Amino acid sequence: MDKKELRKKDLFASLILLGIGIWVFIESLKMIFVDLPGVKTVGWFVAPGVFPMILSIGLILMSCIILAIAVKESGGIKKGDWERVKKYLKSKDFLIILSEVGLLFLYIFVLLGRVHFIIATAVYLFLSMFIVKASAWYKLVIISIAISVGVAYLFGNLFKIPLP
Amino acid sequence: MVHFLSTIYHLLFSPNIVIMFLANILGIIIGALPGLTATMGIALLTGLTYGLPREVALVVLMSLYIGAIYGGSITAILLNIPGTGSAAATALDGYPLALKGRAGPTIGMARLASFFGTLFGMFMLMAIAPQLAKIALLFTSAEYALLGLFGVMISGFVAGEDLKIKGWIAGFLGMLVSCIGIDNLHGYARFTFGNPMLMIGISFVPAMIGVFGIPQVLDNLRLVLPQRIKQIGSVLPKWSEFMKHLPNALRSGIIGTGIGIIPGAGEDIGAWMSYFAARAMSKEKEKFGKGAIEGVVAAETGNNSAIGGAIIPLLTLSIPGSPPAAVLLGALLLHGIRPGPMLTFEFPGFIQEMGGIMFVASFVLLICGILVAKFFIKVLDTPPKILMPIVAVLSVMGAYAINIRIFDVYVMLILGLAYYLLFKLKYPVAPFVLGVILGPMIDENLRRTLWVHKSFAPFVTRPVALVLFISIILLVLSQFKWFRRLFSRKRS
Repeated sequence: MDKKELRKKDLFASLILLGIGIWVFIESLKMIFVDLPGVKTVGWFVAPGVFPMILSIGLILMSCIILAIAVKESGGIKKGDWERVKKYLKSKDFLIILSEVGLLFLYIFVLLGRVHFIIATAVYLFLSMFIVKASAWYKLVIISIAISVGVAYLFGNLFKIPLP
Repeated sequence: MVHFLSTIYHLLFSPNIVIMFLANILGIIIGALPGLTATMGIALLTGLTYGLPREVALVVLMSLYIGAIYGGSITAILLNIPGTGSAAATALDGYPLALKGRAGPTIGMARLASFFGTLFGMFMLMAIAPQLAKIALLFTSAEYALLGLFGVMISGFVAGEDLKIKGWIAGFLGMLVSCIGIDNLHGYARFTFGNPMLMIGISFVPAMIGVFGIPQVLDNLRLVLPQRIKQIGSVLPKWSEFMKHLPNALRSGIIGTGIGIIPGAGEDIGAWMSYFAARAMSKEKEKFGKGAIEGVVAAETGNNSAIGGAIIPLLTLSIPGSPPAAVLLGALLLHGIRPGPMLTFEFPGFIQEMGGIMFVASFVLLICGILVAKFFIKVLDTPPKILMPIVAVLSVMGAYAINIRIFDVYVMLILGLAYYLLFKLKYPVAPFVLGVILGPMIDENLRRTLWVHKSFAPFVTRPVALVLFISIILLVLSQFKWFRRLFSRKRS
């Protein structure tokens, strides 16, 4: 990634980080004026909101600096940049990442805890390897089942950890 | 000294020596496999060894740590892919040497250098740690708050690949994540959104596995395995050749340990600094980068000696010197060991015990390295397309096993995905992890100081606190051009 392109991405990231900083600052303000022991007798600076507030101020300042650097060095957002983004969103690389993220969500949020660990893990492993065409499907079935059983045995039987 | 010798004796004549061998082999494999780091390996094993007695758990974790730091050099030399970040400097000269058909002797030399480095770091730990502990006793809440902040800031400073400020942002985000949950002083729920699962906060192990593991999985899934060098020749160490590099190894040991002591710097920087020093001092500078064995010796001694260095502040100040040491801190806490100034009183002989484990583990490394070097070249044949989903499953289990809580797996995934975006924008991971770990310490000590003294004065009136405060300010100011110009003008 060249520097100009990185700075263009920094531009968006800094705005998001700035947003997070402002939100944390507002939330921490609510934790400054609270009725807690010490806060009234000693002062606001021992309140639970002090540390997040200091961090949020730091985050806001640093995000602004990144934003300024990004504006200065990115050369601005041009029409061609949007075309490149659109092209990337349609690329095979992005689709693989998106599919893998989807599979991770499926495995962790849907399958684990509802389906037996070995089945859930085998399904995830098979689909993950299948989408990147790691090998022939029947080999992937064997690998997925072998690894799932191996992991379940290692964690469940050998280390006595209850499986999710 | 008695504890040191008795630990060695007990290790050699108990079944723990077998466990040590197995953990060391596992560490070498983890270190060698691209995508699996020493930090991740320790994190995974921290959860798994939770149920084991403390002594056994420490044997496993330390052997794995030492094995993993060395293991990274094998892939670096054979494939030009550093298995761990700390082996990146090794690849610069190791791979050209492998291309010249010297892979075997280079791996042998890297193993000897790692062995020497581990021993050097261990001796430094034994020699310096008790003295540092005495100094650490002078620390109050103000110093601890600033020391923690300094650790995060220096970590951001050295780890920042693009802009230093990105390293600091990563550290601040880590500290913000550590704020989630009930705070330690008032018992007040912060950023919990009424969710009872968030009340106990974000465990750092799932957070760390997420930010290290998920980006690796997503990034490496599409990789095609590079061409492998099949003939690696003799992997038996050549002592006579190593002795020629003794001054280089000694210098690298000192640099590596010194860098290891700095919170957050760790093995990676230790290896790079040792490598740069070796290059600067070499009579054949032009050979560096083209296959200079001095470079391999320097980098490998540097990264392994940083292990002992990183453990020094960990045990005496409760400040980990490197990301793997940060995870080790968590493991120690899980097993009821509270590192810090009181360690020598609460657990007398513990530092010697760690020294004894490191001593035996370094010899075990020497043997295991020979045993497994040829074997796991075959493991490296596993294409990333198959390996990475397995890494994801291990990450899930590693995050789950720590508290037997599915919520931790959700945290691992969400933080991992969120950090993937930052990772692509060159926000380093190490400061984030240090931020998550050190955040509660900074928060608690900051407010305790303010509560006791009712002002911010102790941060600038106490000598050590003032030094730390000025150091942090200088770190920040060093990023401004006008400040740098001021110094360059003065110098000229």
